Amino acid sequence: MIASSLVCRRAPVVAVCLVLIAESPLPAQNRELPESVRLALVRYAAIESLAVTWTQTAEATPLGRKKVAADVLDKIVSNGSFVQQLAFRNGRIYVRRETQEGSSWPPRTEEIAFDRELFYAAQNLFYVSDLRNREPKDWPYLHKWLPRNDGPEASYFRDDYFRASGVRLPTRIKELLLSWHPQAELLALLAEGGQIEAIGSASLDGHSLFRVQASSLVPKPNLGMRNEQGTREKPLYRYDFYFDPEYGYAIRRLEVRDEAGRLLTRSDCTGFEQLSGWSVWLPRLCRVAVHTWAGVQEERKSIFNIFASPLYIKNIRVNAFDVKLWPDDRFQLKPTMPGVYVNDASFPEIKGMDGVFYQVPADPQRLNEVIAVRRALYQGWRGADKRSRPLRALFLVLNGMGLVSLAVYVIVRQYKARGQHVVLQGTRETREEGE
Amino acid sequence: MMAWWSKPLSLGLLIYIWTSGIVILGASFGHQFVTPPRAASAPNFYEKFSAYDGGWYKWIAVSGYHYDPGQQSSTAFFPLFPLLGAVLMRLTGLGPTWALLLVSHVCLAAAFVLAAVYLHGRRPPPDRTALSFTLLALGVMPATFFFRMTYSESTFLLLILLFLLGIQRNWPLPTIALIAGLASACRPVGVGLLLPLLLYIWRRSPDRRAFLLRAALFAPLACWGLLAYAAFLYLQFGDPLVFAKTQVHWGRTAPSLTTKMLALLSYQPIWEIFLWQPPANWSVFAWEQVNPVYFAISVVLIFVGAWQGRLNAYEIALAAMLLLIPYLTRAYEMNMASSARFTAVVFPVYLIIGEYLARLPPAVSAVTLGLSTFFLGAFSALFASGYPIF
Repeated sequence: MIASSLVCRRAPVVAVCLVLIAESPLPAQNRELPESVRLALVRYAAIESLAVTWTQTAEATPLGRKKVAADVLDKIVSNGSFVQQLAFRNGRIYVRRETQEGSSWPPRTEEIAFDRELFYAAQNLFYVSDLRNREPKDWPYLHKWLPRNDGPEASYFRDDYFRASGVRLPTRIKELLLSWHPQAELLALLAEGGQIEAIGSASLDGHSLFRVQASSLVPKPNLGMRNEQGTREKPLYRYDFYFDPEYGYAIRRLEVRDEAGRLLTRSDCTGFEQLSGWSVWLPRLCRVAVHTWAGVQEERKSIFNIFASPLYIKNIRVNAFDVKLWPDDRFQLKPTMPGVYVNDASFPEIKGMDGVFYQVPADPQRLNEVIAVRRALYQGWRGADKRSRPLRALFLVLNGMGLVSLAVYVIVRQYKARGQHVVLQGTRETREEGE
Repeated sequence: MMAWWSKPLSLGLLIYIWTSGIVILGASFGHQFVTPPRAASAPNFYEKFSAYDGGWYKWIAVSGYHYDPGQQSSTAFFPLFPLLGAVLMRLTGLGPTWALLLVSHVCLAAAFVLAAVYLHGRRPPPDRTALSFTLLALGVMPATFFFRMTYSESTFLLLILLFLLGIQRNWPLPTIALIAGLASACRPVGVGLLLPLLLYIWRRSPDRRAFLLRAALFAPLACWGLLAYAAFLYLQFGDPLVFAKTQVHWGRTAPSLTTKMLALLSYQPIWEIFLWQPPANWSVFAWEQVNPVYFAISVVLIFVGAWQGRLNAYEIALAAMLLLIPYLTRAYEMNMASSARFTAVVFPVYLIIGEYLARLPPAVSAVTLGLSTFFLGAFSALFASGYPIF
């Protein structure tokens, strides 16, 4: 009964996706994707709700330690080790990341959510313009803001596991605002204008695999490489997908290369598990070897060369898959604990990312009152700009009058002094004549 | 016969000790009795003297400079003060806060003595009352509590006074230019000493050609500190201007130069903050409101003092530069934040205050100084307890 209702509920979604894909005119391709593979990959789009919790670690290779500046590498390793949960349902998305204690950082928790109307970001540590002291204060902080006030390219959701397993989730704001669903990376590439360059079979660790080589035609700013002249250019990427027919064409290996064919990353996934209720298999373990590093912030200390061996390895181990439908309010972050600092830019009058600042009072009954007071202050501050216009004009006029008065004063003073000089000279001449 | 306590050394030191005692007592009161606005970050009393920018200097003294184009960086803070602190740390084994506090206080004590010496040498010589009132004003004006914190203001004040004394006593040009150069390594407004220096060169030059020649020689020397810091930044971070570039992370960004200039010409940064809140919320203890008022009063005092001929040309030029540089460069972006602190080093302001206090009825002068002392203590307490006083 339950199974049949589940199938009934999901069947239209699958059908819609199939129709959508079937109707999407793909660009000219060298090879056609076999229908069986396409149908298997389309099933990702039908996943209505999923939460994956994984543990991720990063370790530098001897080559990485030799080639990457120590502080940059330290940042990669410490930022790359955490426990993360990513959940999505019906256009909503939620991420929770718990980072273990590092050499210079206490354990921290960060949450980011989007409920189709607002973005939420929360963290357990909050800096009050005090970063220089490197002493994070243990004050929870929540930020809420409207998507229209953020940049369309802004991206806050980290989806390493899904990338490694060949599943594309929207992460940029402009993508999240559209009606979206998870997609197989290959189909997403083709929908964006990518091309299949070759199709064949391959064998990996005794598994017979279906191999698809494709190339992207869209720039990926986050992976921007530099050419020999050092200028940033729009890159073209070549992808090598190794699908395992035994597990519903799940990805066992995914390689990303640059235009020249040099390997940038290689993901190897194992331990496939079928999602309960879906004909979709996802890996339990992924190992991502990264052969290059080109962070924008660290340009000065980074390297832009690509190495034959990896610089560091990301290991991803899934702790749990959860296909239950999450309620809507799990995609909203609410300040409940007294003392939480809130930067609430969810009000319609707010024009930017920063909005009304307040702290959740000890008495929850007073929360609305606190918000009302702070909101009135914010509106007063915004209104000050309008009120300042006549004052500005007045002071500019007064300035002009002051300058003119000063000029007149100086001229009159000089004129008087000259007149006095003439009178004195005249008196002296008269006196001389008299003598 | 001059009483022992009215000699420059003893008078300067006495006033330094008494007035600094008020700041320390105020900070102690704040530490013990004033409820902090948020969870206390520094449990030790002495750490309360290194809040806000004081934390940056501490950081530089311990770890040197860092620059990250994406966030506030320590390169915004000039090197002389933290360098002195770092040297003291290595020589004595003191912690960064104590070392920087020691530098601040030694410089401040020396500044008081130099101020007394400078006042004795002014022409016409001030009477004893005006002299004492000037030193008292230097000690108890509310924003002078920063001189006792781990801030570079007291070091800069000492260099300003040394510079003025050099001019007063006709010291050789290279010596005065070197002092100005050292000041330019202490605070960005140190370049403001160029104008009085050029005036000094002009007055000591027999003709225009000699002036141009000397100016070309000594003006760069008077910026040696800034140039050396820029060279260091170039070697360290590949860009000599990162001390200025990192400023974008403090305060707002002007939408255009025209907007900024119109705002500055209409004094918008000074009055704008009072429009943000209804008059019922204005407060004499709200430092963000004190900042523009403090600045405006100082400008008026300098203007009136210059008009009435109470300041000489060097003092006027120095005051004009020390007030104009921060106003033109940062007032719009920072909504006048820190302008009271920037104004605290404008020594000619204290000359005018001292003269006016000496002319007022003694009771009025006493109450005025008493009020100022109260605010000095109150702001020290608020600063120590973590309120945003900067």
